[in-house]
Amino acid sequence: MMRYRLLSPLLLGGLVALAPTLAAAVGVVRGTVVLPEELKAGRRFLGHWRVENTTVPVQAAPARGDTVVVLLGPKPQVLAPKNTPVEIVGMQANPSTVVVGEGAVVEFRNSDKVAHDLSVPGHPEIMPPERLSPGTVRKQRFGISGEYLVRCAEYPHVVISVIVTSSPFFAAVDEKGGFKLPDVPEGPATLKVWSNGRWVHEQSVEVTPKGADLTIKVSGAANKEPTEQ
Amino acid sequence: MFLSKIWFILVALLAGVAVTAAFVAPRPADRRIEQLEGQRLDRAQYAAEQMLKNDARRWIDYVAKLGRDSHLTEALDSSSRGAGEPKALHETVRSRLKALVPDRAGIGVESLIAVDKQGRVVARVGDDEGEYGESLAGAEVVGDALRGYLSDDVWGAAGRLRRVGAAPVTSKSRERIVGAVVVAVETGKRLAEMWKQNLGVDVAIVLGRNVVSSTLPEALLGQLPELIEQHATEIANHKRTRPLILYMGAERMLLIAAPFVGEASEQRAYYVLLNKQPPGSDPWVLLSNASSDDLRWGHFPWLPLAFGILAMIGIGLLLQRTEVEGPIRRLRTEVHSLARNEIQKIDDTKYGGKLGGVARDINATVERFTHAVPPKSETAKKDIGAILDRGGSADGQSFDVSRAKATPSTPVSNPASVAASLFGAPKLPPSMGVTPTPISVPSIPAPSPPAKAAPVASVNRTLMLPNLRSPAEVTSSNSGEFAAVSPSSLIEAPSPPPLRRDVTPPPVPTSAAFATPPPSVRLSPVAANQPKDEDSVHFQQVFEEYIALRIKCGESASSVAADKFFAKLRSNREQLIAKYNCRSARFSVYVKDGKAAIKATPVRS
Repeated sequence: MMRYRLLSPLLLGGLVALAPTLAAAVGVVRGTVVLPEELKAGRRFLGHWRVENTTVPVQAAPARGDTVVVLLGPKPQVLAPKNTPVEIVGMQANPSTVVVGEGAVVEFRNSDKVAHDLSVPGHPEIMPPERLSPGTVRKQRFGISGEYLVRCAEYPHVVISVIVTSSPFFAAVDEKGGFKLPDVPEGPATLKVWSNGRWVHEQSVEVTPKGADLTIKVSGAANKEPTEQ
Repeated sequence: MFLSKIWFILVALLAGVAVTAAFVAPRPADRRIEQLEGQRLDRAQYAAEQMLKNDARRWIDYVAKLGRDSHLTEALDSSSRGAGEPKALHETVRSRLKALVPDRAGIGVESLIAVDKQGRVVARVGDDEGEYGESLAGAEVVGDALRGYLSDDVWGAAGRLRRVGAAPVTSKSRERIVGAVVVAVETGKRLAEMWKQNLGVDVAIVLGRNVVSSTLPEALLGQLPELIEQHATEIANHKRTRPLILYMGAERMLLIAAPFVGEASEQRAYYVLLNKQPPGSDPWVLLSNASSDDLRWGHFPWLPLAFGILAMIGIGLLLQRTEVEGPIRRLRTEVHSLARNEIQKIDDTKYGGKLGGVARDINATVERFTHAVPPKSETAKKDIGAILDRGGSADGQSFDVSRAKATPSTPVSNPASVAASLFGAPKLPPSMGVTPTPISVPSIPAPSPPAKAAPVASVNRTLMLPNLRSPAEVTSSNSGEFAAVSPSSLIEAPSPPPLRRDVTPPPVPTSAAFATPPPSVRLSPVAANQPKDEDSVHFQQVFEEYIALRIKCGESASSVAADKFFAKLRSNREQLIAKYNCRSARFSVYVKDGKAAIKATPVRS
């Protein structure tokens, strides 16, 4: 008991001394991304007509995980490379956006009944065209930071966004636009929003010990051009 | 000739302007035609886009109507709820679709697909009819239909282009969506032919780097995808290209390319409207395309053209007649008059330009042949017989007289005949005709008794001095008779004296010794009856040299009689004087063909 009595103050003092440091190191950044209507339409390639039926209400486009928030700037910036699976099924990729570290391998699995010709158009050195037969997997390593759009030549709506970054602070936006980035170090950072195959928003944030609660309103006019590297 | 030249220049300029207009004038017309063709293609492209849009709406409505079929609704509802056997549902739906669309190929439908609420294929008609169960929910048009939208798209897969329309299928109670019906319409040869009929232009459909179908031979459109690719940015910005030129074999095509909408736009799918360009409008092509109707009286200005041509020809002929033929005729008449001795010379002031020059040349030639001495070089050292003969030419400098016949003195040719024969002869410089080059005889000493040379000088003064003597010569010959003539009056004579055709050279005065030939002598020195003057001494000297040379050449000297020799020399001298109007002649001996010969040299001063 004497021993515990002696150790308790020391332990308590140490915790008290480390508490500010620990509190300053991490915070939670959460918020909501409000996308403009054109980014929530659910269609990338429109035809001549898109009219609502007059019988039942039109449902909103399901979130396919293609809107991602990435926080750049806070230390440490190390995202360990790991294999990330992407399944193509029902003529769509799931998830349609992946964030990986440098050197990570993305595994594309074709679960459709048709073949898909996947490549990064214009950058055969990153990912050359290759036919992915039904039921097969293609493993592709992404070694250089950047954003890549992997497309299917036969079905252009099948697009997988691969964001290669060293930042471990990223999150997919849910159907309501919410996201949460835990354990973000305190300090200035840059928050970027990726949606529909391009960066659609970028802003500076100050991460405090209490974290940050953000409402990110993406302007339609501010949408950037598609980013391809 | 001045007006004729001006006229020729004007005609040439007019022809140049006409040729220039013929080649240049079609260019703006070509550009205008190309512009109009481009506008026509613009309108055709707009019409094609509207037709695509109307077609899309028609097919959307078509599948929406199919989706209201109760059998389909019930089957898709069952599939969505997971009720029922999938294969049985597949057969039911497929049969129903076939019943609803009996003439599928006739209306251009490639396939009909019915999907349930989850996007799974329940049945399809057309392509892959036996397959079902796979999900198409990821296809945007299908996903849209399952959310309640009626929409269209264009798919480019497996090297084919298909326009797609989809509509939701609602439950019988109209409360929820139980599936969707998708129609895929052929977008190839059939569409191209239809557009060609409706728009009046050729159509090609391009997918990526391939021409999917065309109303033109596709093998000739190999360059088309590349050409469109070069204008991809323009198409992305303006949704079409401006009119482009494509060479299809020997033909020149004007085209406009526009993208298909939907997913196919990402796959570089374009429809291209082409129109054959009219051939280039250079004059030859224009003429080859002219029809007989274009040359009808009412369409072609025959009368003004004929009048213009005749007027041009008439003016040209008139000017020719006035400025060329008339003066030539007059000149010819004058030359004839000159030949008939009716006039002394041609009035060259009446003729301008080159005809005036010709008239002056004729005058100068007549003058020259009346008074001139032939140039030295032509007859130097020729036989005197050839020189004195009319056919020969002589310069009057040195002539071989030893074997010459004593021909009678030939009078100077009639100037008129000379003029007639020389009409059209090469032009001579005026100085040649008017002032023949005097013969230079520096070795001849001045006659010792000036009085004996007076008659010769008198002849020269009458006929030759103004023309043949240079001021220096006049100054240098300081004889008594020459001194009587004013040098200034000889030098400064502004024009040649009138031709004295009627004056024949007076007989050359000879001394008394020459008047009577010396008696015949045989190798004797100067005889007593030989002339005492310079000529006699000269003749004697020539005689002696000649005899010596004959002996030297191995010829007989005894056959030469001195008196005959002297008479021959005198005769030849007189002939030379008469022919060349010189003062005297000097003789010298030389060897010709191994025999002794004598040559004569006229003395002018």
